[in-house]
Amino acid sequence: MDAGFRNQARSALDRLGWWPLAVVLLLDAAVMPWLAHPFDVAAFLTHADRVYFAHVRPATLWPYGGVALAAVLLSQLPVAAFPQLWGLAPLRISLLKLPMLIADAGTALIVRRCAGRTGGNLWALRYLLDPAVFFVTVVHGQTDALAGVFAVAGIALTMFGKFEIAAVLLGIGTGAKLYPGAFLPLLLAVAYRNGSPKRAALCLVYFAISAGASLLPVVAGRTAAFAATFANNSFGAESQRVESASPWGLLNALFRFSQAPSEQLAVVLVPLALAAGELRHRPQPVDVARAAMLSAIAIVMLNPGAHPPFYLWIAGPLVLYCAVARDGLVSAIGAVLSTTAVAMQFCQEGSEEYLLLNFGVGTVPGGLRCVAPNSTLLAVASVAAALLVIAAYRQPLRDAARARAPLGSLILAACVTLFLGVAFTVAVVHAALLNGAKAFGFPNEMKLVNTFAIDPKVRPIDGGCELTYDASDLIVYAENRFAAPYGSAALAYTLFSPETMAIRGSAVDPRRLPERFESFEARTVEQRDVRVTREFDVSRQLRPFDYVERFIERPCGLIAGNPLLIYRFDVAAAARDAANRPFRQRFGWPGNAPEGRRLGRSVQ
Amino acid sequence: MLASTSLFGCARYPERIQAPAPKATLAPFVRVFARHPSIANWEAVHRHMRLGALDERSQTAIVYGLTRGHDVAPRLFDAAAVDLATYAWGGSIETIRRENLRARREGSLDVALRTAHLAWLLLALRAGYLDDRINLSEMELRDPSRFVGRSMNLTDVNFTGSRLTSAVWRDTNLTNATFNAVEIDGRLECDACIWNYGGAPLRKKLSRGRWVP
Repeated sequence: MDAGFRNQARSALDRLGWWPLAVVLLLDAAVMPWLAHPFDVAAFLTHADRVYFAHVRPATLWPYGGVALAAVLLSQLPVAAFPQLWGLAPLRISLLKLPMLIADAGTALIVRRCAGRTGGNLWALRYLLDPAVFFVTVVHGQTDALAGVFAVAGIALTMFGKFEIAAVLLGIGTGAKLYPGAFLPLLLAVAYRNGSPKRAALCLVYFAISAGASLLPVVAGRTAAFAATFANNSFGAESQRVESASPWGLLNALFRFSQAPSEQLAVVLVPLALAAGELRHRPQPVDVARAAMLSAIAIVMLNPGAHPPFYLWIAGPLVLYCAVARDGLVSAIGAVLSTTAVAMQFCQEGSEEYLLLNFGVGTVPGGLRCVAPNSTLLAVASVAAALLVIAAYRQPLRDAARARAPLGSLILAACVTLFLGVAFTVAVVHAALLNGAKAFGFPNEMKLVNTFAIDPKVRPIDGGCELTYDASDLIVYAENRFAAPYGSAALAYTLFSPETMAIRGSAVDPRRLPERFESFEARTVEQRDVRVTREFDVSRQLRPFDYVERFIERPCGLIAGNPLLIYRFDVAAAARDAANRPFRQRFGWPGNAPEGRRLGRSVQ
Repeated sequence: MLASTSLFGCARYPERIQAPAPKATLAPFVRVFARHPSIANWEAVHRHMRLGALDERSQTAIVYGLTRGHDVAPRLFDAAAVDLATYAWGGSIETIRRENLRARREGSLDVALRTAHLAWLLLALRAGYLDDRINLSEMELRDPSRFVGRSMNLTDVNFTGSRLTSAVWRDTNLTNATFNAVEIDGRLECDACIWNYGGAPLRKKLSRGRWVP
């Protein structure tokens, strides 16, 4: 194909107007109800349920910023109005993903606008068909696209000199997920060089105000909990874990070296260095786009807490750079990187996870499992990232690549997307045929995310042991008389041996309590897996629920971590009851207490 | 605290820990426990097991101590079962079967029944996702305990020729479990149990080695 033909094809695609983008978005909308990461999506949905059906304060237990919280809550408003929709998993998943799909459409439009006179549709489609974008928004159901659209908008406005608006948008994006804040140094450097020191200072103020306004609702009064959640989600309970999608994992495997917090320093230093580099000249749009793309790659690839969905953060700045620089080679390498991220996610969890909410267990299309060992995928991702850096800086070869590669990368992305689409369609049809009548996935996952297993802190005392269970910041229905009836508590044993338990001063023989035989591994708040085979219901003894409980066990148990105190919250029952109550009446009840009152102590 | 229980970010899958290869020696404290199974003697054995140093001879000695002619406190018996299941499930179940068959041959009914109880405890502790083949054939497995057959994963367990107690099991996974020629002193039923992956829970009774509605 010669350059003339490619230009004609690009122009022909542009002449189709909005239609190509609309078709892709409609196909995304058709696929997205059926697939979802069960735990993440159930956690989002149950968060909305806690707010709507249990009157829990919206920020309680929320780990991200205010924008993402608003998106989740707004998306589930129809379910608040009509609780009868609670169990309709495909509808709820669609509603949840809709803001993210709109955000992706917004990013595609920004890319289209920045692409110049021709090729806008091509690059917008390149973004929408990026494997990471399709996977995270349409398949997985995470909120990264929200931050992405603000980040890409901020970068685009920085390129074209509208620094103040860029600062506001980056600030709002930081309120979705924190990473758009990484582009602030670049904005300040460009505003300083292409504008003035005063404009750079104003940008800093605008950013601080907008980021503060969007983060304040979720951080106010719970800064420590927010920070702890960030560290826990990123680096595990000990803040020392390197996640499986981080290339640091390769070093860790080779040298048993892991210092997650110090490794994260690189994430901060690289964007600062790139921004400082732009101070050497008056940056052109392509320079800004390149620095932003490399910053995005750094904050994902060098982040020891990187999960595969984080790779979406790269896609927006990368395609924006490609559109501005007309750089097909970078686009193609970026597609490889995104595909690798999707493969890593399947390696971790397997494709059947994504069918669980709608179709329950038993739908295992084995072909979508691990295509290669995770370490191999990490190596591929690392090589791709390194090539991206080299390719982005190649000057002599840029023109030749711009003429050749965009169509190839589009074909590659289309092939991957087609593969995913066909495979998932087969999986959905297979699941619908075999398991349609046994769709327990959604309610089971909702139960799982509303189960809190608390480890006992054991202190030997005379003739027994004092067991302390601290559930601060977990049992959101404590002190909430509206929600409390839907809560329950149970003592859970790996194996039960006869003993007595003093609960709130009363001696109780567990064998006289309502019991249930169980078979599951409980992941406790201390991140330990404890096998549970038997539970005794202590809901009656523990109502009204407190945040901290102290029991006396006689004699002391010999099995580590026993008994767990398991709190459960029945959101399905809350939704059922809400359905029987008029909308206005339901919101006349008080919610639970402010969090500052209860942290670290028992509330009587 | 949130991420520990409400993980946004896919970190809820436990990592497997590989224990170092066990040494083929019988530690003195294991020998002491085998002779005098008490809580005090168990502490050293427990620490020994946590290091992953549980060889076949030690397993045999522990099972011997728990089941041969000693009146072991139930909570010690349970704690030992948890440790055996945690650190050496497969080896322990083979050892228990060997001891059970030996007791059956020797006509030591009480020892056979204690090994049966230990076997059922290990089955209760078997994780729900496991489907490796377990051989419990020809064993004396009568145990009137209430937990037997309740919410258990008996996938691919071979009960051929074993003796079982009359009971109604519940919520148990019996996928590919075999019951040819089992002896039951009465009737064995299973309520809300499943017989294949993804199958609906059903109630069936065992008749001539087959589960029938």
